[in-house]
Amino acid sequence: MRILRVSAIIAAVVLVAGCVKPIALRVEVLDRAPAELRTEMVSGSKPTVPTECMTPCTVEVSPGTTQRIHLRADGYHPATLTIQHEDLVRLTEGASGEEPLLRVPLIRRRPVGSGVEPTP
Amino acid sequence: MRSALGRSFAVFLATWIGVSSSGCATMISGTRQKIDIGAAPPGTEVTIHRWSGEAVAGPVRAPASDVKVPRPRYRHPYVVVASKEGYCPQYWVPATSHTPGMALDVILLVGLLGYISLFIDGSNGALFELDEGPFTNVVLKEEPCGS
Repeated sequence: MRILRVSAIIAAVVLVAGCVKPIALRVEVLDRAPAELRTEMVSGSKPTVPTECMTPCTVEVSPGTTQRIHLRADGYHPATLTIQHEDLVRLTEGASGEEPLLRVPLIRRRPVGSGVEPTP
Repeated sequence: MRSALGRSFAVFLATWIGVSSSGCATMISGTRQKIDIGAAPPGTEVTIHRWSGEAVAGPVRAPASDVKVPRPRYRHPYVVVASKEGYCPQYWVPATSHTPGMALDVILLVGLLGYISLFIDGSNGALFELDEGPFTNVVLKEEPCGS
């Protein structure tokens, strides 16, 4: 009985500790292009650490926060994506301890002059 | 009388084991979800990715109905991209919720088989469903795109 109680307490502590600490998220562009990453806090009390970096890079997302991620890379359309700390918690469930990863599928810009020319 | 009762119990037990070991939610909801995609302008392509970058559905040209999307395993989030030439791509992480099969799994959580059922349903995504709302009303802005 005591073993059960101790196990339950340990499980609860581990669960709570896992939920309240910042989670490191590795961000990169799907086809490995380097991109400028900038984050903006939407809600919560702590911005990501760091708030700017060149991908691939890792940002720490604090519990209870919602962050907007902006990505810019040459030859691609900019991307803006809103994520929550809760998303990262879920991402780690069932995973074997790897750092959560976000590979953003940036969309290539159409090269200038490659558009369909209007027919006279 | 006793043998009929015994047979009924055996059938019940076999059914219970069968249902539990294959996952309640898996049997009820399946591992795929059908969603409708509506977007402006027409012809917008929508692709659903895992955060690892792997595409799980699409690209699908909007408008489209009954697009089959794998339910998110372990409730792992997806990232969705809507794009069209000449317009600014739009990205979002769809919210997820529990399927009705979750309740049955919880009811079954009276023994080891309940846990097995819950594990199966969680690992194949049958416990979860994507919020369809944002898929039905995607509106892309024309270029140039801001940050």
